[in-house]
Amino acid sequence: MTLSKPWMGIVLGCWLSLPIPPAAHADKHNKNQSEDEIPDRELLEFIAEFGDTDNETFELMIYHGQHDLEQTDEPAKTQEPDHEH
Amino acid sequence: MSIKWLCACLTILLSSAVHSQDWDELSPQMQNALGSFSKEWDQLPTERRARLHSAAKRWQAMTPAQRIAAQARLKRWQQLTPEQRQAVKKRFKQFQSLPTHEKAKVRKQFKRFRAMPPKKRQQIKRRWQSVKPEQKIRLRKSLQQRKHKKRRQ
Repeated sequence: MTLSKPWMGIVLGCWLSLPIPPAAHADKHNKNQSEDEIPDRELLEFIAEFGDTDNETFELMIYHGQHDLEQTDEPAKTQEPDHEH
Repeated sequence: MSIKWLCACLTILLSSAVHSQDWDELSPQMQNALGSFSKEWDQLPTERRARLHSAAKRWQAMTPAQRIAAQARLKRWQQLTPEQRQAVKKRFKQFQSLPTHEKAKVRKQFKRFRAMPPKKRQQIKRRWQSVKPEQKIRLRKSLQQRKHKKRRQ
């Protein structure tokens, strides 16, 4: 029996989405993780929130966090340099 | 419905099934990384499980240097007050909703702003703070119009 292309796509999609059995990927992860490197709750929550943020964006957000509250309204501070030019 | 859509839906469904695994179904490595959530894991909402699962996966894939950087970032985060954290989260959501070119523009402007001497930055800040809210709105609009005009020329 041969499968048509779309069906092969579905089968492949399903197969790729299945979890890898623990034994199969245990070694791959073990080299990266030692007992003292278990992330705590706060770190995990933080990574979940900002994990895929680049440094520049993170700095920008922290800046806003520190300075937005000084203001009575919410200006687009990122446009500030433009006022000078 | 096209086959492509069907494939996409099936993939999403299956991957969400992976992320909503109960504690006993997680691999030992994942259980180790998510250890601090072991007691309540099975009661957590699916969406939160998925987020934490991704975070744990990300952590496992990090190099030692990346882990140190993540911990340093967390320290900075911890130094913020709850109000400041709320402000950051709010700004972050706004930022994420911007189109890619707008994001790049914002980053560029911030880079320029940070590169200025502290005195100059203070000056700009003070000037901006002294402007009334309605004036700020008008100012932004006129700046945008000016930019559009420049682009057309």
